[in-house]
Amino acid sequence: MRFLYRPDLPEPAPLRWLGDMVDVALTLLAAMLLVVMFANVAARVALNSDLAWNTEFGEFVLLWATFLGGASAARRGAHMRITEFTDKMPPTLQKVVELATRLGVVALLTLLISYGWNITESTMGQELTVLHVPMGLQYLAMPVGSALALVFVLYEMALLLRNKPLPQEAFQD
Amino acid sequence: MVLAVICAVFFALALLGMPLVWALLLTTVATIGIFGMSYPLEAIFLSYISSLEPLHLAAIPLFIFTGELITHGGVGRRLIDFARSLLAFMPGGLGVVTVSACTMFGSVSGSAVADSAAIGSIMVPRMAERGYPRAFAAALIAVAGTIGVLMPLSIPLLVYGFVGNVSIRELLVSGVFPAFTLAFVLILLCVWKGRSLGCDLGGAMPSRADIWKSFLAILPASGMPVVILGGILTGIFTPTEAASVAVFYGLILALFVYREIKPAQVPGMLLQSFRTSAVVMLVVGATGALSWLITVEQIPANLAQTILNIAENKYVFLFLLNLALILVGIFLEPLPSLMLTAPLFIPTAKAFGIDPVHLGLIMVFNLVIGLYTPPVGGTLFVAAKIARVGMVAISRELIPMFILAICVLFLVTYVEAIPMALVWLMRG
Repeated sequence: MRFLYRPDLPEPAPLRWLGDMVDVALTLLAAMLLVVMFANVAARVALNSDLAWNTEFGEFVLLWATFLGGASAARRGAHMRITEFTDKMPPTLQKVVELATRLGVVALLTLLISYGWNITESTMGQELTVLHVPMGLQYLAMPVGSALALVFVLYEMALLLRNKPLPQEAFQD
Repeated sequence: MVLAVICAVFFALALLGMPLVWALLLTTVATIGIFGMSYPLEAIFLSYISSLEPLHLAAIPLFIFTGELITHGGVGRRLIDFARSLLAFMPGGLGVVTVSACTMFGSVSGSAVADSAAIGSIMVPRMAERGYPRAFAAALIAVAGTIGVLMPLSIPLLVYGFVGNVSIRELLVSGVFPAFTLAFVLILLCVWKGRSLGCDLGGAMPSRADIWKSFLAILPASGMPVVILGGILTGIFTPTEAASVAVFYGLILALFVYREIKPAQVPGMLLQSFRTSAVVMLVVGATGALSWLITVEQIPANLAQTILNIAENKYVFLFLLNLALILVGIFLEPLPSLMLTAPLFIPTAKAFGIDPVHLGLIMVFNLVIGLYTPPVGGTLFVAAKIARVGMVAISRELIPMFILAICVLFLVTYVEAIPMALVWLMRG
């Protein structure tokens, strides 16, 4: 399993950097979460004490990891979807449908970014109880993750318009 | 009315290939727009985020990562060796070994597709060599792989627990007897098949030295279900804590004990697992948003009322549920269908006095059947790929197994004690 994603059709350099940054950040967050979660069990079972900052920190990391993971999946076309019907359509119709559903996704992601930004701004004043970090920084994960996903979806649309193959990684459950 | 529009919009988007997470959110937004409802969109998106916030959800990426470590960590081969040393003397021994290895593997991996791939890649060629038809070997691995997701550490049961707010401890325990029942009937089928084909009448009686050697090889891995399950059942760990212990157990096992994974591979596996889990969790969050809307619109309560009027008793309801989920399972993979339908069915089931734990087990058992019903399905594809046989040939061999699985499904559904006995014992 290679760590960095290199599709057969190379991505433009800025997109590649962006995607790799997302992947590296996600991996670091994941490693942090493993350590934090394990430290918490160890502290509770061995020392019989809760690490107070642990839950807040863990939720912060988990939320960012989830939305960055969503962006990373968008880059690879790895979101759960049903392709059985579109695969059987004639090529022209398939292209139109693929473009149309992505237009819907673009509209939705734009909503997520703008409303997500509002939510972030309005919660910047509230602090997390133990960590004393603004709550807005945690909620920032949604607009940021959605914006990154939007970039990759727009790239897919550009590929579609130029009749290039799309990234498609099957979801593994 | 609202529910009809929600279903229509969602299915239109989903069947046209829009990724489920965005199809769900767009359905929610569109429904509000169509009916001109006055809910602020902030509320929808806030419930999307806040469904993703609770730290106990970390169990999902942690268990997926553990499964990845186990799958690539050489556990499958050792399990097969162990099962073979014990069971290969029976008629149809190779089939029996396949089914038992799949069942045991499930208790450490939690994913049906991984289970089929790990055991199938070793056992299908061996069965073919021995003279079994490839299509039979493929069909067996497609079905046996799904036993794994009923065994504890099952990711679908975990997800149901989060979506439906049901005790995860009890859910994990409820899968044990149904898994054993399904494994048992498949083993009977294999014994009969081995006899009637005449190609596998059973090997030599196992030698004690062989059993001992393969047992020692599997011993480090068998500590994992003991620690995890024991920890959860005795209440030492919460499921999420157990997941973080499992990750470290799996890391040590794969890196230092079996040494089948190099440290350099770990970041890639971590990235892959967290991406997979993000895909699952975002759908959990999106169903959270849609659930918010259908709950304030009182849809589940009304639906429960309607079904109460149609179905005379809980057995009629359960039968309709079985049928509906088999149909859903043919088209959709278990995880998304579970997340979509659980919020709708839980209130109805409660109205009929069905335990949410029992309902969850039925739903998971029911939906994983869809993993091997043609034309599409996760373990079916894996099995076909490994065995290099066509769908039609596999489908023919699948028929008896499918019938057996349906019989077990009905047993598990209507004989509450099979899944629930251990749960009742735990509740005291």
